[in-house]
Amino acid sequence: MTTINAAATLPTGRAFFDLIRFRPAWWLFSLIFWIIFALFIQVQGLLLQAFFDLIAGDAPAGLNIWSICVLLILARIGRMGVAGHIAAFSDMTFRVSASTLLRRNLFTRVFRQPGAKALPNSAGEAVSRFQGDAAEVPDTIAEINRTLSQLVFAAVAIITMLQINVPITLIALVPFFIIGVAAMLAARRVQDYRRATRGAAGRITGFIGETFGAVQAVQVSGSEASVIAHYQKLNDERAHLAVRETLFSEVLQAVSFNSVNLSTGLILLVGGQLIQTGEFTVSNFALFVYYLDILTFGVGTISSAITRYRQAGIAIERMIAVTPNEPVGGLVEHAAIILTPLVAEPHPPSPSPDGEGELSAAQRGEVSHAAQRADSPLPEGEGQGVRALQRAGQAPPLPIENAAILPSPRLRGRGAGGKGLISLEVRHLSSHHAASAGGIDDISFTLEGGTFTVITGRVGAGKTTLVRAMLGLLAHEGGGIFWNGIAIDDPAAFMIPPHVAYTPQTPRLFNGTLRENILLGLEDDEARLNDAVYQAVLEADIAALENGLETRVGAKGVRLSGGQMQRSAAARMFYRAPQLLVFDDLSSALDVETEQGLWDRAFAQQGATCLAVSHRHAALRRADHIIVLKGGRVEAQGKLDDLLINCEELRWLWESGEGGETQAE
Amino acid sequence: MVEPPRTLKTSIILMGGWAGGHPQMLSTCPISTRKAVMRVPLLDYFTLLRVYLKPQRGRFALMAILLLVGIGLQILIPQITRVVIDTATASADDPTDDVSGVLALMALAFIGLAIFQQIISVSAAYFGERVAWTATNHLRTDLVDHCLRLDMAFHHRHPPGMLIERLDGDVSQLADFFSEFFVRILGSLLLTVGIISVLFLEDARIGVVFLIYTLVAFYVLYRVRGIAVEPFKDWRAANADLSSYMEDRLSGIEDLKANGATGSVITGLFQQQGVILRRGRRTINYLTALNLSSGMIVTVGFVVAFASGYLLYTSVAITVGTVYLIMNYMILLNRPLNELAQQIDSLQNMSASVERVQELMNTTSALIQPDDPLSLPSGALAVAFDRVSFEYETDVPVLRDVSFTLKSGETLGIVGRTGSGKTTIARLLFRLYAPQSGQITLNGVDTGQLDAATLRTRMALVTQDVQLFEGTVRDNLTFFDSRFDDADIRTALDLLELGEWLRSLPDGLDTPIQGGRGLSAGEGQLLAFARAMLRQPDLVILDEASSRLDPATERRIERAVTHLLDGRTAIIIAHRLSTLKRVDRILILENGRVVEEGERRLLMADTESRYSRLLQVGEEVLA
Repeated sequence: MTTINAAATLPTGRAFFDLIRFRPAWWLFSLIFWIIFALFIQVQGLLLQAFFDLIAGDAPAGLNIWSICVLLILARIGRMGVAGHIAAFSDMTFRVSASTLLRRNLFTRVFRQPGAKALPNSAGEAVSRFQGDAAEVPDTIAEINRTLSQLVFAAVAIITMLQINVPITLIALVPFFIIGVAAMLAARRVQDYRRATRGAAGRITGFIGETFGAVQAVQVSGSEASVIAHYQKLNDERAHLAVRETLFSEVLQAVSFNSVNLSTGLILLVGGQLIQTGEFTVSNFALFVYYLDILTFGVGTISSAITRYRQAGIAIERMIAVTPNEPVGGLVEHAAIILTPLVAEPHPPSPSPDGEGELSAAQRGEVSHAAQRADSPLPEGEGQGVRALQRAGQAPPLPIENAAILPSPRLRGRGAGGKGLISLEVRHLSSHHAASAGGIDDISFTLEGGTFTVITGRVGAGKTTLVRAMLGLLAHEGGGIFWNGIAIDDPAAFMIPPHVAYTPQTPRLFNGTLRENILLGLEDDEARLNDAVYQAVLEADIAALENGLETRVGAKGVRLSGGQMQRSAAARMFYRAPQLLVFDDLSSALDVETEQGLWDRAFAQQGATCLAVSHRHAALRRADHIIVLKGGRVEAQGKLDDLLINCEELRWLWESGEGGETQAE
Repeated sequence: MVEPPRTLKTSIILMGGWAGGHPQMLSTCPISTRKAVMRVPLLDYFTLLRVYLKPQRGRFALMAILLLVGIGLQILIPQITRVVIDTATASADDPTDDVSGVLALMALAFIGLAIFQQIISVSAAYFGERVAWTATNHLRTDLVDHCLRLDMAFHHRHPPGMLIERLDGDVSQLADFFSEFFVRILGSLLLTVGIISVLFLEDARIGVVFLIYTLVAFYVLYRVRGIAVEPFKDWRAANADLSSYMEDRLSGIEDLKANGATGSVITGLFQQQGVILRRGRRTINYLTALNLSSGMIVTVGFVVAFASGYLLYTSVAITVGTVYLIMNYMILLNRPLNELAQQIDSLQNMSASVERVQELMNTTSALIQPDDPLSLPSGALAVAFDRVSFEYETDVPVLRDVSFTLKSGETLGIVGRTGSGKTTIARLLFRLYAPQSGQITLNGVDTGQLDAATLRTRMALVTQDVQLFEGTVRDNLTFFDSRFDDADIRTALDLLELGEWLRSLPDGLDTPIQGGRGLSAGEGQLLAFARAMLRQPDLVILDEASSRLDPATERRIERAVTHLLDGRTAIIIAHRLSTLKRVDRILILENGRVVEEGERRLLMADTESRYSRLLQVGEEVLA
């Protein structure tokens, strides 16, 4: 994990405070009603005492056996039916709201990172932080409320006991608390043991998954026996850890139960004598034992609240570590969240203003801010939800929102005198990343509007790095990008639709329908959708799918073939009608003919400007301009015919590329 | 006295851990996943029990004894309290009677027995756990062993995720079955019966009242126990949906940013969270109903104890100590009642699990192993297909009457479009499937007459889809087989020009490769070669990578192929024309039929052959 600046930590207490301030009413409701819930237990105890007083012929005024019974039932209803319900309901609302805020902030923080390196680890690893850690913190706050209510109960109980008999109270409670605290300290080890067991369990499920994921490899190598031997080893390890955990927690539990028994025994020892002298009564005895039982739980919860407070601190650190460069306070920054069902679909924002000011705004990377400020007028009665949603989804610090997406009609084509892309200049661009070997150095080239530019080079030459750095998906160290001659300071904010759209080498689709994947939050326009699908050479595939565009693609698009995924991503790009289309290598999933078709259709559309990474002859032959990369630098650039004569690297690529394209199939 | 039941975690998630010492708040929501009726006859349970518990009869018996002693102590201890109370109150009425010594003795006995009872309960839990883990691990191993040997058709129907659920999830359910279930059900029943019997001895009327209460309470608990299960499951499902939603979006950040679609992610998040909130609230409603009704059972128990104790006491039939004893037993009684009501659910879950486990155990491989397998002489293998036909699904033939022969040491290149049956030929050779008709022979021996495992040790398959898993480099190459020592592995890697790569790894062979992440496609391929190389096979089947690697890597792979094929019989499923230059024979497949087969040089010389036409078309495409 990235090391975190020592100063850049968010104190757990402050995070808690900010989250409580986010939904103070629900938090307070939960606290108050948990306390009421606890006090009803006290009522039950007093009724128990009253019963034994009644037996002793010493009943409190107005109480007889029947009224005691009725009051017992009412106390139960008040406690579980009313107080407990309101408390749990408020608790739930607070926790869901606060975790939503944390997740929203996590997402916006991640989205501010360079897109290709947004997460420090795998997505799966990040999810545990988005899911588990974001829930852990509000859950802990809620648990502290419950612990507080228990402390209130404990205080009331101890005062009541002291009023009855000070020596017996002390005799009962002192060993009780000593054992309780000891158990509490030991309880930390339970956590360690449990973690160890879970780790072992994870290794086992992981191993099953891996083994059966590679079952053919296991079978063909005849390794069944050795694999099973290893599995057995893992299982024995888990069994050992699980037995250890159970034994330890059973012992711990026995110790804390015994502290009740020990105290009860001591009360019997001392109280028995005092009952003789009449200083202590059976009803007092009953009440004391009743309290002890409940207080045992108290000690446990306090210890678990302390542990959880510490864990919440770790959870906060883990969430901060997702985006180490972001200000720590932003994690708990308040923002609007909408948890009510939407009455209407998100309203498409008004087209971005494309007056003369556009590019200067773009220079500051604030194009979409400008769009937001143009506050789309919502029709009356569209509902608070929609309006608030727009605020929530689009308010800074999320500048790259839907507002920027739908281009105004004027921006769609590139007319000679229009506002489209005339030239894109990359000057002295460098980008290096520790994790990836292939950085780029001092790359310069110019891309003319309406032309097709191909970037080519060997694996590791820096092709993808170059594209990503241009698009702001990777940070660049030096140099600049100039759009129609104007410097783009924040490419991540500008090099997006309606200016640029991009299909990565291995594009990602999301769980949902094909239509949703192409729209990705944009307004649905059937005609444009059909256009995009056609341009992406996807229409035959869609026709063949049982549900057409409504086909659910599965998680990560698994139900589509690699080629279909890539073309769906291309359709997503075409739907955005950007001024510049950027394709990273299509050849890994598309055969030559399909790729050819895609280029044909792309250029049939007037005025498309394309930048593609490719080493296919079809692309190179069509290119107006070819940039040959080698070792992260521009080796040569120009037209194919010239490069074939002058550039050895291209010649080599051209020739050695043959085998790969001519599949025997 | 109050022991948190095992479903505690469930309620804590929703209601918070603050239970105020009353088990009813906690003991509520058994996460039973299926409302299965008990379909599996009891006999099946006992069969499983016998098989897996037999080896640990002694431990099991010890656990049962400990449990019985524990129950006896639980019933005995409240009796002491009664004696103390009665002795003390009696002497309060009669101050001349000094009972201090007796009282002190009684109190100490109370403490001693209570501690003893805890020791017993801890020991019982310990032995129970040991029995359960030993038995279920045994079962787990048997199941994995069984499944690993099933044919590929089975594995296509059962993806790894499903098998994890079956092999670990279902078996864990059975862990209860092996120890705690009998212990808990029997233990709870005995405790209940014990308490009521003791009360009958005390006073028949009290006994009757308690018996009626027990039956009614059990019925109510049984009826309400499941009401929160559905909403709770929905709530959990919503959380799982959110999790996969986030994972899905987080793995596509580049796409989302580059297409300006980050806002829609937040909108989606809010929608998912909204569902969680609504389902969470709904679950709370059900949980309240559940807690209230089971809590009311306790309260009614107190009312019953109070009223009957009071009435008997005022009719001077019993002492104050006995009234206290009645109350004490009432509290004690609630635990086994809850336990019993819940265990019925686990019984049902278990019955579903037992059924699924047995179903898995009863799945037999479509491949029939010969009873008396023949042996295969060592040395390079000659291969022959004789009129082999095969279909994965009925009436969808994949191979039709395929025949060819390959002498030992020769190399065959198979060419054909996707779906023409190339890969199937490899699978049949490995006996991952058996042909419906025709015969496949190795050195003249029908592969059906050979033990599949032995057969596979003689061959190696290098596929284009390299199956790597989380584990060290060594584990990935050896599949945990200690037969291969490090020197062998290093030799193989050196031969494949991976020596330098290996030395660059921080922990050498012990470096974990996480399912191939961080490896280039080329390195992954080369590791697959190393796997094959290590096994010194007599027949190599190579499914060439169709996707393009960079030229330098491709050269490396070509050299690796040369090493691997050296002196061995080989079949290459070719995706490149250049590969075919190294083969001795060519086989062209079309729709599962052999349309051309022969020696490469002859085919090349024949301008009418498909192979030479293919070469021409290839060159055209290349030009």
